[in-house]
Amino acid sequence: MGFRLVVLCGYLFLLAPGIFVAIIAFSSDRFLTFPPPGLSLRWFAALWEHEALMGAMRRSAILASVVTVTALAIGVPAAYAIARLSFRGRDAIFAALTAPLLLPTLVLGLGILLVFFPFGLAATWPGLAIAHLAVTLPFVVRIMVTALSTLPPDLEDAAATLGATPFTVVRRITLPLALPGLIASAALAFLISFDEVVISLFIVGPRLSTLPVEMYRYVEGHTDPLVAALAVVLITLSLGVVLLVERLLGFMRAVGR
Amino acid sequence: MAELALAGLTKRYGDGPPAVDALDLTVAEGEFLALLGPSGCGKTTTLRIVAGLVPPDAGAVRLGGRDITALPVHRRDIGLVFQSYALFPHMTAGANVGFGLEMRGLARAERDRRVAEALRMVRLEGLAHRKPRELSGGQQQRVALARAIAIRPSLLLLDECLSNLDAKLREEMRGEIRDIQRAAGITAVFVTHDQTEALAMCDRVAVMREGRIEQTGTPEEVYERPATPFVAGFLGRMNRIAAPVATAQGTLRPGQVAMVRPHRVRILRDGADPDGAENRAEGTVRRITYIGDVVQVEAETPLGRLAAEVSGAAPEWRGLAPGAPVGFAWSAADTLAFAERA
Repeated sequence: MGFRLVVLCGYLFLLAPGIFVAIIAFSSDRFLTFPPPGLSLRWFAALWEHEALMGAMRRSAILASVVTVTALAIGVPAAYAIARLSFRGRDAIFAALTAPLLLPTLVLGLGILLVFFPFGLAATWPGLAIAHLAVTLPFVVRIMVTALSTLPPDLEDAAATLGATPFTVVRRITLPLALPGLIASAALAFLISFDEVVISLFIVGPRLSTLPVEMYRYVEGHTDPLVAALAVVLITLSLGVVLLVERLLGFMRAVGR
Repeated sequence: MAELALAGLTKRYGDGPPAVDALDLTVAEGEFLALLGPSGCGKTTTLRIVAGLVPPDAGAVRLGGRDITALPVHRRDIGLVFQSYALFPHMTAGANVGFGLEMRGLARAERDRRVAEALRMVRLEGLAHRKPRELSGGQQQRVALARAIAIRPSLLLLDECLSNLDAKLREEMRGEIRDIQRAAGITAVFVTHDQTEALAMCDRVAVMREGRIEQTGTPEEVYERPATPFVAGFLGRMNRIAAPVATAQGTLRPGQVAMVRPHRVRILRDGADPDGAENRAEGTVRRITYIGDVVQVEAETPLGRLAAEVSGAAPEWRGLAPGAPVGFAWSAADTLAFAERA
């Protein structure tokens, strides 16, 4: 009983900011007052009309999609090589690919800016995508190395003895069996990129900015519940992704994975 | 269906002694050969080289007269049944069996017919729609076998594939695999560390040790006339005697060791007549092990510790107990002499 109370308090502490923000998002007031004097959807309507934030959201969604696809395209083959093949420098490559996980993002952001500037990559689409790859790729590689290492190599060997070419083995055996890992790493890469603030702050420009950066700037100059409405939209989207992944993985377990 | 010939096959991992060491072996068309040896003797490595999953450092693999040493796995046309079965967990039993046929580009109707035929052969008709995890260990084993034979390979390889089954099922599958292999007339190599499986299932047995073949022969040859003490000891129990007893090759000379199987040793009670047996030893019973159909009696004798094995129904062991005096007798013809070495 006492333990449950502690757990409950823990959750309340963690969720409190979200709960406050969610309530304020439906406020009818022009300021961030709590409790709100009345309820309305005016701030959601205002958000819909807000060019800068909606544009940034579109850009962030496109960027996160591109980053996710690229991270999978690079990370999955890399993870396959690390998990399945033995070659010189394998451990070093694995360490290098996952190292950004250990660095403070502030350091990473400054480093990326210093490298990007001379190449004219700062404040460009490719620059943003590469910077986001630096933080998403480690997760993809990590998850996929684990997912692939738990697959018995006998399965791939068996498919090969039955006449499957190496490409067919990957397509018909390896990838379908690693699908839960693929879905998990794709979802994680998307959310990390969509949510990334610190590194983005270093390299966005006046005409190319992402949603988290725009939000950050907005709250610096405004004190209305618009950002709270935006936060509710983002929380809903994230929850949607998480639930979708949960459903997909559960579904896969049900079909005999 | 084809003859398999291995010539000078060598494989080394790291700096240790070679896992497979200049191995020569021929398996005749339609023959069922057992590759028998203790774990780590290189038998599985040999099998994987034949399948194409491991490249040899030296030597050649020929199948039906064609050198396939450099041929990639997927073009070898060899069926392999894995110890782990390696069934694809995301496919039904039918899809597993049909996978190889699909890879060969067979039309749907023909594929279904061949899948049904292979499943019928392993007596699993009606379970085609099941996922591997919905099948018992024995059924999974059969699906793995059906999958390997459905492609009608020129060679069938079986890697310790009975070792995960319980004793009763294992005995059943032994006969069944043997029947299927014969019915299909397929050349087959069966890797095992279980001498009973090797003797019971195969036409010929190749005993392996430290990457080399110690002896090849029919089950009877390797059991009755082992070429080395290792083969003698690996295929069933053996008494080792280092005293001048009478052997099939004359009286044991220094530097030689004599071996006799426990079930060829008779138990003599109360100074009974050895009845033509050239060798005798008197001693004290140390241990009696009752295993149902056979009883093992071990005794300390002047020739060392010896064991005799008699039928559980035999009268000779009745009344014997540790500490009791006992006489052993065995004939020279059953006693083999070997040069002593490691």
